[in-house]
Amino acid sequence: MTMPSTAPTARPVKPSLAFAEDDDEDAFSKLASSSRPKPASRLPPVEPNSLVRPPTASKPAASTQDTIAEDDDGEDDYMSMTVADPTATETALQRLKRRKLEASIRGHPLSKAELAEQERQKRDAGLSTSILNNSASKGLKMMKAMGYSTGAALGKSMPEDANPGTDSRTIEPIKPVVRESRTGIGHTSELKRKFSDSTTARDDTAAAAKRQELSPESYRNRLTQEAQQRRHEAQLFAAQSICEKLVAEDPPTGYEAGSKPVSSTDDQTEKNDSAQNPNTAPDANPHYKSDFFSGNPTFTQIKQINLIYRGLLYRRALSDLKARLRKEQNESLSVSKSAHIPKPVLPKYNAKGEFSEDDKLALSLGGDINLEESELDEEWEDSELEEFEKREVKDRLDEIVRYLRSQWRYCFWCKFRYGSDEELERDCPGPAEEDHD
Amino acid sequence: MTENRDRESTESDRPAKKAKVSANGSASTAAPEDNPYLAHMYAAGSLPSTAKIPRGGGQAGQDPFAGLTRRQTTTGQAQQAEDGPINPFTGNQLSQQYFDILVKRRNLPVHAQRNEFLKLYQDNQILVFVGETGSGKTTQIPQFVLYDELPHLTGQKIACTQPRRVAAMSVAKRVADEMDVVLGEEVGYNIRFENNTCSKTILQYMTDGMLLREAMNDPDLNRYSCIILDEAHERTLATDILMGLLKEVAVRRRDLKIVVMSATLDAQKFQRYFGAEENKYNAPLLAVPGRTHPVEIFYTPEPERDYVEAALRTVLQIHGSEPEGDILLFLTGEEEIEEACKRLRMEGDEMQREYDTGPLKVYALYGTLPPQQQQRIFDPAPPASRPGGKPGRKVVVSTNIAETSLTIDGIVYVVDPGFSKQKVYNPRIRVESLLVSPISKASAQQRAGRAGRTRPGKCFRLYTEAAFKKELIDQTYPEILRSNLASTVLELKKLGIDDLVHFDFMDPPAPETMMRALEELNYLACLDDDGNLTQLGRMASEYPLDPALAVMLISSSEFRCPSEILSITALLSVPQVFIRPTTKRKEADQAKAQFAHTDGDHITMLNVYHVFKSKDQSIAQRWCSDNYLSYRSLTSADNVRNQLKVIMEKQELDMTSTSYEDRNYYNNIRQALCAGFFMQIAKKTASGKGYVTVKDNQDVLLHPSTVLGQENEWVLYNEFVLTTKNYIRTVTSVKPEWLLDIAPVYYDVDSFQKGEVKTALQRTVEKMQRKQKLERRRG
Repeated sequence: MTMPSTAPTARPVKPSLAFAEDDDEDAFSKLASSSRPKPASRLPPVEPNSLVRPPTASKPAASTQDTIAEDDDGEDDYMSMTVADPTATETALQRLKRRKLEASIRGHPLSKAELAEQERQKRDAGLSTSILNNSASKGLKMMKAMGYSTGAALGKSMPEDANPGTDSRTIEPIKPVVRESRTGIGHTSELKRKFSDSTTARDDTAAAAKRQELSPESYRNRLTQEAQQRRHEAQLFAAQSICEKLVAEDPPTGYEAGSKPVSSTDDQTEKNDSAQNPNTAPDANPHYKSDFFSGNPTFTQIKQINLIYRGLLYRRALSDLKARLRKEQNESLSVSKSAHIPKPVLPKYNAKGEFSEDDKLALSLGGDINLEESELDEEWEDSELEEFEKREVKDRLDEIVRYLRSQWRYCFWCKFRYGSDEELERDCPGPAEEDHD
Repeated sequence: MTENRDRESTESDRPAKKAKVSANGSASTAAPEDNPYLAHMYAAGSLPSTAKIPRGGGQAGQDPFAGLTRRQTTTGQAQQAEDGPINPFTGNQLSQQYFDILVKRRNLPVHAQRNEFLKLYQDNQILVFVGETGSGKTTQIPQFVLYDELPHLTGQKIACTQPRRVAAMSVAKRVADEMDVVLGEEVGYNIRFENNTCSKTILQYMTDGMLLREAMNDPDLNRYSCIILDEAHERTLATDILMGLLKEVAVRRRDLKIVVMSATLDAQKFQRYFGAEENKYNAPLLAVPGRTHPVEIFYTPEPERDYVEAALRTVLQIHGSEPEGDILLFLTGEEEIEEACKRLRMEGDEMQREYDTGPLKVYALYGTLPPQQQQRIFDPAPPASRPGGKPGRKVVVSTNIAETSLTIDGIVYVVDPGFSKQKVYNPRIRVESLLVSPISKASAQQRAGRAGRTRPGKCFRLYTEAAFKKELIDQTYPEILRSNLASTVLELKKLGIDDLVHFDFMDPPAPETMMRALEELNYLACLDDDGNLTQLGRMASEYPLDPALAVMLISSSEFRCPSEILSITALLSVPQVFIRPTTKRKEADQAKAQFAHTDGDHITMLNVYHVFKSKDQSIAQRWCSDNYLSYRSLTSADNVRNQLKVIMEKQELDMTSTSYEDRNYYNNIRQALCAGFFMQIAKKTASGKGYVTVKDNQDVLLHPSTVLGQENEWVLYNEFVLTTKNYIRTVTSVKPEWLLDIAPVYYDVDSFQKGEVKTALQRTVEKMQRKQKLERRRG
């Protein structure tokens, strides 16, 4: 079929060219295809702009660019346009796809262990698939003609084979079993029993999961995620600090300075507190009774702080407690020694409200001072906070940002406390970080 | 005879108690010359050249058989005839050697039951005979039959089958000596590629496979009046088919006698199988008790982590603490055995130095060992190193050859790790491999029995009693369940058996194995779609080869390379020509590299053969050992080649090859290879690290022994084997165009699973079509 002269820019590649690249027959085949008479059975002429679509629904056609690239070195035979027999050949797009796939396979060579695993899996699959299901087999047809019925054994049945169960004739072919080590008889089976099916059942999924982990995309994704996580954590800490400051400057309604703080926003907290810790009312612990906002609250007090920034105070209090305990211990052991230290540098908190590594070392906080031995063990446990901190960092951050906004018209992203709601509406781009880009 | 029996023992009542050790304990060590399995090594023998008296000559009228009626003779009559002085079969004067052997023969356990045997033999058509190795059944029963059948009167021979070629040869030699006749005349043997019989032959030892081949041309086996199937317990493929066949022949030929001989294992199974209605499906059985002593069996309390280590430890413990007596250790293969021998020698020397134990002599025994070395296992144990010192000990480290087929005297201790190498074929992925597998309970008992041949012995099993009961199967799987049946199916078709599905197999093979065989024969065009033998199939069945090899050979004249393909086929039919000693791997590989051809291993082998043929006979052997080649394999390939050539010429195939200068010389050879092996092709995978078999989609690697690199897209392989990895061995690169041309039915692209192979084939098809069109236009 002939095409209008506008055709050359959008012409599907001829099938004959599809595979003839680096072949010695290449030149011949191109020659052959160029002079090929146009078969009548080919598809009817198509509009140029429809060429990007597949000739049939099942077959994607070559993209315009591909065909140009393909024909650059070809000869000027664009007056003739043959469309591939859609069922027989591969279009340029498909070839591109295939090559990409092949390249990606080549690009990620499997390790020896993986190859061996793949080999084993294919072998096991082959060995456990009966070929009697292949009804196209001429061998099976011949056997059927001899009177074989699928599932039966060959040969004559012995007189005693008549009763079922005693027929010892083979139906399944013997499977080859490869012994990879020189373990004696009974040794491997004993191991197998010990590990039982727990290993074998999870084997495949575990291997698959491992493979996935090894792919470069997932590695990159994981790294990005981790960085994001760290960023969110830092932001959360910053937001909590702001929150603490704002509460001190401008306590929200419902907060009463002193020893009876009640969370204004979180009724749930209040209920929990009274339900769970009836004995740990602030008055019951005169020893730790101190000013709420002085920066040295008791655990019981901390438990009544709004969840969203409670973690900050909690961790600080915990660090303090540990330091104090350690100090008490040290002092009781060797008072004289500590007396020699002229000007002890006070430990400082780091970004997470904990002591820095150096300070930890200096205070010999092995990272995990055993608080369980202290008599305070019940007090510093805070299941509510634990629950809260199980939530995603981003989630918690969003909540505190919302809280700052609603309580003090403070936008965490603008880093500015607006004077009025209108101002906030007008000048702040929005409640989300993305809005401030 | 494996034992030197120096005393008269006609009493048959307590043969088990008859120890052949003389009172003072000096064990009568068997002379290797007396071992029937080694008789072929003494071929030139010490046969005194007695003056031959032609039959019907001066002493005519003194026919020792006068007055005897066929199949009604008695032991007395037979013995009288045996006592001479005239050889009843040749008419010659009997030699002194004959009478010397006769004394020993009369001492054999079977002799005591000659009467019983004759009675059962004469009264029944089929008889099952059970006797242990060393009872004399292989050499004596056929002679008992001879004296009752009187074959010179009927002109019909007696056949005795053996599973192994070597056994057939050496037993025939021994029996020829016993009967005082020349091997190849009255007594001969017929094995694949070697027929040593003549028109005078009345007793013929042969491999079971040869009898099967004879049946293809003589379905009623009219040449024979009696057929003895020896070592039936080994259940080789050919024996199994023969049994099924003989059951049918026995119905057609009521005069044919059949004796099935087995070594105690599973005798009831044979009785049942050969039973008929008149004997209530229980064929008569005659058992000769072996001369055995009790064997104490020890198990390990715990499963072993490493059976080789455990075996060596056990052997050394026995050597250090047990009283005098030789040790037999069963291991699985050449490499393992050689390694074990080396370590035992070292440790043994050390023990002698440091703990003053007796000297330890270690011998290896496996099938591929040269005969001279095999023979050394019969050397007596070494004497004490100094007067009054501890006696020496012999250790034989063997494959399961020593289990039934070979008897070593003096063995008192058996160490059995419970493994042997077994062939397994699986039709699903068409892989045939020799794999180290646990033995059966029957094998374990047989192994233990080897300890009680001289005196009460001990057997150390390197597994727990629970493992013995639970992990070991009762009987070793017969070969028919573990083999590719393509050539068997072709043989059965040639034998005129059309209904293969209901053929009376003793153990029917898996249906899938049969299906695969039929399918493969159909692709090879040996069977048509209805399962009838084609002309090609008929021709192929005349070669004692696998159908693929036979078809390749027949097709080679089309590809104008019959001479080369003949050589390659012969080389593929003999044991490996390249030798690679563990200590000299590098040198061996270098030597092999001289012959390497870029097209692959088949042509590399052909190169070796061509150079071998160009060498002078006198230096050929030396040249082989210098180049790490097996002289035995090459000479035997030469012999096989001649035999095959005779068949090809008989079939009037064109035997002209293109000249070496022709540029298609190698392509022709490779195409001819494709004609037979187009079903054994692998294609390189996209990742480029290995290959995948085209239809069964199995990942395979080129065997490290190949001369081919990784660059070939398509390769043809001779074997697909499974070790710890999937390997293809003996490979040659081919072109996909050839495959599509030669086997269009098998390479029908539509029949392939979606995947790399299919895509590659599609591309080849298109390429070929383009080329064709171009040529048509040009032409």
